[in-house]
Amino acid sequence: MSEKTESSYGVTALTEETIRSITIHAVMYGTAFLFLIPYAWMISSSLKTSQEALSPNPSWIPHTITFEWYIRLLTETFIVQWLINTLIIALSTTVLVLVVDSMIAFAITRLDWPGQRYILGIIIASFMVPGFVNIIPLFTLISDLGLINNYLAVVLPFAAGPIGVFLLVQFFKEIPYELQEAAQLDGFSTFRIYLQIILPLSKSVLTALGLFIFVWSWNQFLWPLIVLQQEKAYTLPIGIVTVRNTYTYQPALVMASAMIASVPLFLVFLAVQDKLISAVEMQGVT
Amino acid sequence: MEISYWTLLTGGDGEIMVKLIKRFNDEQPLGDVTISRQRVPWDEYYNRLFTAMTSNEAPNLAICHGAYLRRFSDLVVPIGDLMSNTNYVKQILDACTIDDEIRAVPMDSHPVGLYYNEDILKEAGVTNTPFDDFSQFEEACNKIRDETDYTPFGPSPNTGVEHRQYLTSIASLGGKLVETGGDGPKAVFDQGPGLEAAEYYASVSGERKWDIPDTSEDRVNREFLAGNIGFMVHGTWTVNRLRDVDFNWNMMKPYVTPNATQLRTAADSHTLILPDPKMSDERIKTTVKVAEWLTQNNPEWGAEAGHLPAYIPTLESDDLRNAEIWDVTLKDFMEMAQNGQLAYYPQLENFDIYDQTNWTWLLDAYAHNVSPKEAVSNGVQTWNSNL
Amino acid sequence: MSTKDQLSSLKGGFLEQRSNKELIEGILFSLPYLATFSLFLLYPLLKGGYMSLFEWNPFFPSESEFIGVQNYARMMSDGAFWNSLGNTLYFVVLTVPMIVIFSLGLALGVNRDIKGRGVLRAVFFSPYILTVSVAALIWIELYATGYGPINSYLSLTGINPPAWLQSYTWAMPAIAFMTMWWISGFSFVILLSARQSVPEYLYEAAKLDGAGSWRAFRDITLPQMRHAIFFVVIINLVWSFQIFGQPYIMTHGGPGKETETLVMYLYNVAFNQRNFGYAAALGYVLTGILVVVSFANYYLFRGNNE
Repeated sequence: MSEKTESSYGVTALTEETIRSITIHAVMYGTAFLFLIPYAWMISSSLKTSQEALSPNPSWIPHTITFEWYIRLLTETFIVQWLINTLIIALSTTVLVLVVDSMIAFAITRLDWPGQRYILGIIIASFMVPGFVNIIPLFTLISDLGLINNYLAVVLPFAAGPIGVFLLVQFFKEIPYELQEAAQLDGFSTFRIYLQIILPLSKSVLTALGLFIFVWSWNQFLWPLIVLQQEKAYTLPIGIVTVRNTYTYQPALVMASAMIASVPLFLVFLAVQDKLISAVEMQGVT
Repeated sequence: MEISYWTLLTGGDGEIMVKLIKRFNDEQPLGDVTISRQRVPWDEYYNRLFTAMTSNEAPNLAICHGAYLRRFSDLVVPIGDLMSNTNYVKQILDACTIDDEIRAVPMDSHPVGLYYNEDILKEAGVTNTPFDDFSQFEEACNKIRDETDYTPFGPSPNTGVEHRQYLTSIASLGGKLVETGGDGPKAVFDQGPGLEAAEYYASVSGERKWDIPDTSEDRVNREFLAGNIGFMVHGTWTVNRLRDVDFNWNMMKPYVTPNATQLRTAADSHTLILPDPKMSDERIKTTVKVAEWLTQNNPEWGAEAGHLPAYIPTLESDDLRNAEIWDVTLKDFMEMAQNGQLAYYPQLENFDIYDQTNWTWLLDAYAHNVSPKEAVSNGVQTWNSNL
Repeated sequence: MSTKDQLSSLKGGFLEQRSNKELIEGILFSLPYLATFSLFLLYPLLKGGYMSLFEWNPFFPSESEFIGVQNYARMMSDGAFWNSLGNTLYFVVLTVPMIVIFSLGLALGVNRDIKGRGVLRAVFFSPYILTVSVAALIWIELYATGYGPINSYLSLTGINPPAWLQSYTWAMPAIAFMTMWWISGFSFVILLSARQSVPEYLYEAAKLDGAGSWRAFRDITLPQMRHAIFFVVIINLVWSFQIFGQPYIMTHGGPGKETETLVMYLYNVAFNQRNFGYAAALGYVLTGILVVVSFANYYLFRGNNE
């Protein structure tokens, strides 16, 4: 009797566990499916004819596949130029951030000089300054410097952000000081310590930070909208919105432009997914 | 010398402008002078022009709507003395003259008209086109509503209804958007003709059941082009969008307002301004010549883009009269212009009159989000806080 | 051991001149960043405060008129400002709890013994790498009346769907929903990693004590993850307060002014109404609000958990 209760209890537990597992799988994969729907719509619409894209009966696989919109975008708009602009801005912001942020993080954590604590304090306090508060005075500054429509108008203000310094300070702090000491005894200059010891040891954090900055600057909208005023100077995020205004009522073309603006980043994402995700995780931990 | 030139034109007339500039650059009528065109999107055009002007990035030459001239008048180069020829339609040239100085070269006038799908009218049994009063229009809309599955009247292709239709109606009722008194301009459309016009457009999407209260962008445009809407009120340049449609269409004067005391149609002008006062004298002189060429040697601006040219010799030329489009649209527009039936937008210094956010109250009335009375009073409040 | 201690123990009895050398090197290494930081972040911050006291003339700055705190006083009676503040708060209230709860749910789900965890993680994170314009343009099409898939399917079920982005009731929730899809991935990744660093033995111990899964969640998961949750709440608050791109692209602030947010209003005041001084004052006030909200949130969390 007691044995029977025992075993039936075991069976119930097992089924409960199974049902639970099935439910969780169903919910998670269901949600994932819903997450992918916007992509599916973007891809399929970008290949539709004008008529099908506007049809009240939605179709997920176009009846007639056309590359017309991609061709028109490539030939009639500056989209290639925008892609190049975005790439240059994102890359130079990334490089600049990695270089200047790692230098100051090195100075703050590995060198001993008065004032470093206050400087770090001010930099961290500037986290409180949201980007928009500065757009008006920054706009007048950039225009006084004659940098409107220039890549630098976007790159320099982006490179002033505190996030990289903050992350690198956290990381550099943890590198054992014995290494530095040994190098100093070997007669390494401070610059060599920075270049040949600290930087190589920080590869992972630098990669993660670099990726994050790259994606972040690729995607910026408000600031480039203000300082890049010439059609040829736009970045992709700005450009594709103007495409929508130019070609009234061509959802297929708009979706094709969205594809062109997002595919490069998706490729980056697929290639280095784990590193990018760890860049985000890092921000949560610190 | 390369003259930088900003335009905001999209679609139909934008293509013609590209053609015009290409012709200039091919022919090089002023010697070694070329135009480098840059298109700035409509939505952002005047904001961009302003930021460019504050940051010394302004182009040599830019299109400016007549309604916006006062907004930029302090900052553009006065050009009256430099123009070789002022043989432009007086009313338009007057609009370019602010504080006794000519500050822009007039290019055209572009009033609105009533476009219609002849096939739908035929199916509904409407044969008495063109109309010469509102009751005929009303009867036609009711017939389309009752006899067919089509939508009778989508006032504006863009958002169901917008400033062009509203100004047309308020002026037809003898009213004004803005009254200019001793203490500056004041919006006055919350009563009388302004209220009546708002009530009328609310009824179009309401009890008249001529349209649905949906103010989505481009809905009417899409449906009209697909052949599902009978009537629509829009500007001269609409002809370019209608070239490829597979139904028969036509245009007539916009008798679309009930109880109208007169026929009026909302109109504005494209003009050319020199927004960069820091240019050298030589560059200014050349730019004025370019502007004159663009406004005087542009038969396609009428014949193809559909606008009424502002330069009298072009306007009266046989070329224009012989153009295919003359009988379809331009003749009616010309008649309205000659009869003084064009209602121009007020020129306001501190007000972005085409900006959508200044017209959301009208969309609210059309979408039946609020009553027309509430809508116009919200509108007047918004306007007066900015004026 | 603090940085300071390590450094002094490392340096031991080094000479004073070394210290001087380090000072110079420290300054040299800091200079490139400090120059950018001062010129493009600190200086504009101060100049903004200065501009906010003027009726600023964008064309001839030297002709600007000093008006004291009038720009700040003006906000009190500026209906459009209060409207945009209200809209922004509404957006914050709609999105922040929704995103935090939703991404916590996703994180806990993916943390379980689930097949294809890597794929799920990639899918949920992926929208975050899109630019706001791409996300907004896709959702404009999804929400479209007439041919958009959402309304097409809703009509099939006999529901008469609203014109999402033109509706007073639905425009802001529609933007909030799209935002949830777009940026939840960031919070999800942080919460997932926080959940994964909760030691398993805590749960095993709780199980032995007979605790059910709800109690385990309440007594172990939440307290252990509180730092990550706090971070996620703050970052979403800060982002939501600064919302600009979504309404700018999707609704232009309409219908009416229902989706005009603070940053949009600031943008319009500056570049449409050309009032740089007032816009600068608005920026300062918004920053103040943001700082207050962040601190309030900080103390709230402290109070709850410690």
